[in-house]
Amino acid sequence: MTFARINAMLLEGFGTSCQLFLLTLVLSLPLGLIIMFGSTCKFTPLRWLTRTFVWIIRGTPLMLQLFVVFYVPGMLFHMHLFPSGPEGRFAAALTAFVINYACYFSEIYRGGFGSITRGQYEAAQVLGMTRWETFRHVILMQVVKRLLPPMSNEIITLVKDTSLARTIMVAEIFFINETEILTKGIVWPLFYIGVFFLIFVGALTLLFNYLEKKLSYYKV
Amino acid sequence: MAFLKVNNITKSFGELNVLKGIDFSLEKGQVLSLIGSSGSGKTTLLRCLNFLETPDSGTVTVREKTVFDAKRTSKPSLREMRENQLKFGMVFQSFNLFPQHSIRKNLTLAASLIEKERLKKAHASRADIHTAMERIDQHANEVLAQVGLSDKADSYPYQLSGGQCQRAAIARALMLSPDILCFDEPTSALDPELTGEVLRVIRGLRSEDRTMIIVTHEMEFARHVSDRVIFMADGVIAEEGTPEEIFEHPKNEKLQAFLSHTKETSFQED
Amino acid sequence: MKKIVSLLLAALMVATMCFGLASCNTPEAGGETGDWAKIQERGYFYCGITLYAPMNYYNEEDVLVGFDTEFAQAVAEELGVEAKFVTITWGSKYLELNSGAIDFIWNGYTFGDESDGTPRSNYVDFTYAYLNNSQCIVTASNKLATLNTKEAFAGLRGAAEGGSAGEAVAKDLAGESGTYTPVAAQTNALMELKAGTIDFAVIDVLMAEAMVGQGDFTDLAINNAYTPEPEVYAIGCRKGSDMTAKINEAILKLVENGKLAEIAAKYELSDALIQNIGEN
Repeated sequence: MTFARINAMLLEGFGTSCQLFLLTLVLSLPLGLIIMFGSTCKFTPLRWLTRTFVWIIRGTPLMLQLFVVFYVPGMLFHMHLFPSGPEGRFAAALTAFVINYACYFSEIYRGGFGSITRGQYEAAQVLGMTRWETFRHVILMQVVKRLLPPMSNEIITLVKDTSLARTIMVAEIFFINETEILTKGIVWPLFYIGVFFLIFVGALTLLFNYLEKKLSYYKV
Repeated sequence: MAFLKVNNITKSFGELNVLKGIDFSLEKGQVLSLIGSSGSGKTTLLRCLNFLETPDSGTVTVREKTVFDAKRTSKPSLREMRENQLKFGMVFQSFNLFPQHSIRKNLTLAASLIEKERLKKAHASRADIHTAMERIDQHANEVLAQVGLSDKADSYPYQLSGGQCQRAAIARALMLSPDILCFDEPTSALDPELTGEVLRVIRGLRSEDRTMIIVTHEMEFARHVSDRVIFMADGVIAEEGTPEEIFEHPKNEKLQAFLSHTKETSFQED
Repeated sequence: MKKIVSLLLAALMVATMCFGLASCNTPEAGGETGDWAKIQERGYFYCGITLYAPMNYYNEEDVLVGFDTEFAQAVAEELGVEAKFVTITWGSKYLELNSGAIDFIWNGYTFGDESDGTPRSNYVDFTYAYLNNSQCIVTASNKLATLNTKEAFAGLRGAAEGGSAGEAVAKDLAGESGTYTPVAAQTNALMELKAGTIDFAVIDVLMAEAMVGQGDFTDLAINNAYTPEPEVYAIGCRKGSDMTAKINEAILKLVENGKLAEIAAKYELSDALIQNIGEN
């Protein structure tokens, strides 16, 4: 196999990995917020239901969740939530990733909001601010600043976790490498893949550093 | 009719009865100091007035308008709640400045939100809103000058000393021109050498005929700044009177004990 | 107490949801018999494959070719639908098949037993067998001289594709004192061999003939110290599926019109092609 051919295959696989990463991020960030509202809800049954759900998702391997999402409905109920083609597999992987990461994010959010002192809410209240104004103008940026370090950690983990999608045969970079390249005894692409990830994570790290610097004009 | 009238306020947290029926009234421009040992209920009373706690019973009336009535069943509208809320201003023991905003923004934030909402409802032009915002900025500058923080307008709370933070917090409360300005132990979180500057600012406000309620442990300060003093003990008003009556001729035994305890504490103005 | 009640309530809700999902699907339950109708409706079927020559592999032009590829395409044409392929790890094949993610295991699939002795016919319905095959041992070419008896493999490190027909052979050869490693695909076994992480691999002879000793695997060789029992390839269909009969019908047509022989010739598999398909 030529270098160009291997390169093209790896780039295609990496494209799938990146898509999975970006879509997971875009969908799980807001979903995590909704789950956080559930797990801090004053209505006890809903709170416990959400917390049990988060416990299950965080307590079981993502690999297992991928299996459950993609294979189990068909095996037990003859129900095909996802078509069997590559798009279906991708959609199933995305579903499992979004649910998994939303649960992790929800706990990070919960920690972030929990760290805001009551005094901030009270100060906003006595100034006549509505709940939304309080959230938007007082709480949000404080939470964002606190969330940035744990979130950047989790997001970098997500980049590398995308390789787990291979469990259900999603053609991400490692799956392509293993089924089409490594099997021919060609080893060097492994390092090449390593470089892809290094560059990607490096770019993310720079972005997070930049954001942290931008937010360093105040202390909470 | 008194400017502020508080009627039979009670409040309990679970089994603990913190306020056991508080009645008092205050005239416009008067300064009231609430003194008493920790746990006597004075902070809770202040928080009740500011809607930070909901009393179990009683009424609060400001300028003959009932702003709180425990018997009321219907929920007040958002607008009414905000109106009632803004009759009171509150300065917290721990300042509670917004750390991500500059001092100027801390002052203008609430005012500009309220003003923007009002102008938008009135379909004001963009230019009008701009002018209004400039007016608020101007007002903030004046208030900052009043508390001696003109040079700190663009600083962030973390860059300020405790005393400066508290002065900024006072300025923030002043921005909305509340009918009654409340202070909850404004100097308790400060190093002793920083209390003076804060108390001086509060004194300065007094001369403007502003109605104020101050919860404080600074007895000397309470004596000099107040028109009236209330001594609270175990959730009731144990004694009430002019500073002279309270500090020179205390009748209540608990008050006598309390005063002899706190005698060492004195407020220094340098 | 309140917490326990809430937890129970939560468990109840989850259980209800599961049963709800199950019951709303009852009309479709036992839907395997309707596989043909479903495939007709969507216009294609999915074959689960692993990539290796000569069955399914990408040629120089980056086109998926191979005997099984063209065979499946010819069958699909007979049926008036399209054949699609998805690369899977061999160990997941029944999961893929039973969940409906693929419709056929069609990738040099040996008619025989799993390595634990369970007949594969317990998991799938087989079509007619179409190719003769056997497992064979592959070692580094410079080990041919020393590894020249069946006993010489005892205590060594062997590998085969997890869930493949070669598993039992590899386990047997390595014996108690050796190790056996299941790998994701047959080609992985060759890769391990090349990397020196194992001493011998057990793979399909048809694949070995096509791949070993050439291209990336020049320093490997087929080791004839031991020749396992011959076996045959067939297509695995979902148990109870009406597709088994449909595929058999199409196979017979392809035998009749010479198309299957033509494909076999193209991949130099004429000798391996079973002569009287459908009669055994």
